[in-house]
Amino acid sequence: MHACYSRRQWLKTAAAATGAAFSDPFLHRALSAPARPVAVSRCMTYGPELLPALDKMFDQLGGLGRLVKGKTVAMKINLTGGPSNRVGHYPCEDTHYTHPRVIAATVHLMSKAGARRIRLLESPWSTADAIEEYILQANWEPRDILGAGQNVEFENTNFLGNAKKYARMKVPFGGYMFPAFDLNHSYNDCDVFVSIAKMKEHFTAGVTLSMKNCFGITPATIYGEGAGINEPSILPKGGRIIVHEGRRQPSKSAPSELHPNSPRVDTYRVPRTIVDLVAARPIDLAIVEGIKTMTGGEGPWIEEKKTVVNPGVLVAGTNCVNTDAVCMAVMGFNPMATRGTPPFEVCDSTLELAEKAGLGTRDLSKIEIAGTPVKQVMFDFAKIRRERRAHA
Amino acid sequence: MKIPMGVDSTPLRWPAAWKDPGMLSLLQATPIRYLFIDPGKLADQARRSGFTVVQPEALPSGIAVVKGPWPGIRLSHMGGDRAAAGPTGEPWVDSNGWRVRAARAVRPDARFWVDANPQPSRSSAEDYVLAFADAAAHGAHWIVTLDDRLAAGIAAKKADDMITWKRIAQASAFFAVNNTYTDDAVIGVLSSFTGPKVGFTNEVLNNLARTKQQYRAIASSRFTSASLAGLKGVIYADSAEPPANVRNQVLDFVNAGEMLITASAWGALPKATAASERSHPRFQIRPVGKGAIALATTPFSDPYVVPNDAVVLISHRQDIVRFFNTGAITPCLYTSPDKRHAALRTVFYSLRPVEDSTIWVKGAWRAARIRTWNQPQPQNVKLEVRDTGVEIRLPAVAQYALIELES
Repeated sequence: MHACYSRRQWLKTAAAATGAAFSDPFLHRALSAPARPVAVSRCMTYGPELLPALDKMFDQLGGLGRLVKGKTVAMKINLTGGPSNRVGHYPCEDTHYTHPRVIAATVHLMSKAGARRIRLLESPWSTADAIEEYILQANWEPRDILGAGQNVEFENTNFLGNAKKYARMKVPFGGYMFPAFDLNHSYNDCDVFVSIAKMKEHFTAGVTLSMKNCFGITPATIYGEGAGINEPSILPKGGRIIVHEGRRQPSKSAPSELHPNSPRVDTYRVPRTIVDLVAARPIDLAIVEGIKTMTGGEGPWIEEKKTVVNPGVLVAGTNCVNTDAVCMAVMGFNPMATRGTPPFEVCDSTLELAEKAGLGTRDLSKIEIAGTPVKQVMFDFAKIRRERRAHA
Repeated sequence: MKIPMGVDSTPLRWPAAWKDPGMLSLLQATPIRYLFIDPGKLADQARRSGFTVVQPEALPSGIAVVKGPWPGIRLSHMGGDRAAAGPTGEPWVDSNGWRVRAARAVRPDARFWVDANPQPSRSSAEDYVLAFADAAAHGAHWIVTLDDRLAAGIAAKKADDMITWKRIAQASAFFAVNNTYTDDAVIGVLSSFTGPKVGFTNEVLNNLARTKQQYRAIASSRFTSASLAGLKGVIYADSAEPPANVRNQVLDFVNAGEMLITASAWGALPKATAASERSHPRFQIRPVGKGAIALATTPFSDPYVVPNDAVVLISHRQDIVRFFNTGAITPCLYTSPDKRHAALRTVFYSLRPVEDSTIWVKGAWRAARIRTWNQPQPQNVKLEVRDTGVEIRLPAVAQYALIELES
């Protein structure tokens, strides 16, 4: 095809594309989306190999001290679903929760690198109880994490918590769905924000990695099933149905949707809201844990056939889009995939939308990968997905 | 509190449709030996056949009856077969366990029969097994009561109904066997359990059972130094002050390191002995001695919120059992006097077998066996050590599992 393409035609097309880029702000942002190194490491177990693997990865990204020394670090972990809901008999951390040893090892390394305060954040399902109480029910020992560093604490961000008001966090590029969010203060009162996620497929969003993990920063008191109409409810109840289905707006005290006539379909709404969220609360360090995980979806409630797997991989980067793009490649998916192609058969690609918002590139040719080559750690979620769906 | 049992006789309410004394022969191979039956020829025949005829107003010595609803997942009043939901969206479960525990707190030496009539919409063989299980898990016996349609079908020897009867008979044999272990508990509910002012406390007890936390009902009239043994906290939710001797012993319990959860109805409370490091939206937490008093900032008003707050105030760190993928259950843990054996009786309210469920039990247990009503022979189950306890992976279970543990 290239042989038939004259220089004049190429110049014409290129000029048109450039013009389009400048006239289409999303295309312009996509072309200039940042690319930062992403570290990849083989790590088959949560045993003694974990800490040195993470330590080396952080060094490959320029060192943790540069990022966290003297700072307050907020770390969003993933505890999706109830603590007594398992895939088969497997503990939650072996399938769909961020593993406590990965959390503890990261806390330890951050503390060692001089972090002043480390706050572990999550908005657990339908409760305002302390995170410690939540994870005890999953048979975790909170002290294993709290004792891994100095000044470590948990906060449940599914409601107002101990603050006097919610923090309003604006979406710098204007937002796909929301211009701003009202969030628990913890997402504002930090110097460094870390998303520490599990590597999984996702029923609604195709994949759940460092960006999708941040869907859970929204308090259910404002964005959940039991959210107050005018003001946030006192206690969180249910899932984030307002964002998923859009049948109603968040509590009136919070910014409402930009486009109330946009599709009321979760496969449209969720990816866009995720991008708005990670733009409003930028991720300074993305860590995706795929040592042990599951295929088939994001948790036990997913009806597709689920398998418990041991990909034995860790991925980390200082740009969440770049990091998630590398994760997709590790999972056997094409990070450049768009709606209609796996794993985005029925949804929009969060990565594509994030790239268009200028948050980071998903183009692997632009991303420097440090550590283990992707080919050596690839675990083919895509193949398992094809086979599973072929037999469904 | 000990559950006084052994291999025990089971009561049955003689169905009106059973006119033929020959129906007594159906009971011969079962542990059913007590019959609620109106005086007359049938009653005489029953006596001659070795049964004890019982009248509701003249129960055998040492027996008490607890009346309650037909146990199981309550169906919605909105119509159809939808389950009614509780405050969390979980299906609402009717259980008589808390009623048995409250009654036993007041009459610790009695044996309890549960009087619950089947609902026509929930009268499968599995529903009947559930009625046995719900009572047996708490050391009581269900008064076997057949719905009219089934009783008529059995009298007519209809094949399907005879199959159901066979299962009922099988279950009656399984649930007649009990042990004399002591109930293990984390939270106590202290109350007079009598009079008009205990309605709220009863609902607290009912909802506490739904949290799956192990609990003990403690009657203030029967309070002894052993009442609080092993507990990590006690709820007092009556609307009148407890007796002085009880108050003093509960405050000793707090001073020794445990927690009292109460509201202003308790009366005067000691002042905090240190600054509190804990805050709570509905309680003022007052350190007292080595323990604490959680005093509600407003009078108790929601019997669902109180027990759920209590479980967290006392902390899941104190859990002695935890459950994964079990759905709606009532678990009851009993331990032998020497603490070397335990029995976890768990009622599963789903009528379908529950798969992939896991139970964690605190303690250094080395072996576990499971018995179910349809597989009464013990089967070994694998244990996996997890922190301070063991995880037990259960096979598919329907209605009830008795897990026996050995250290």
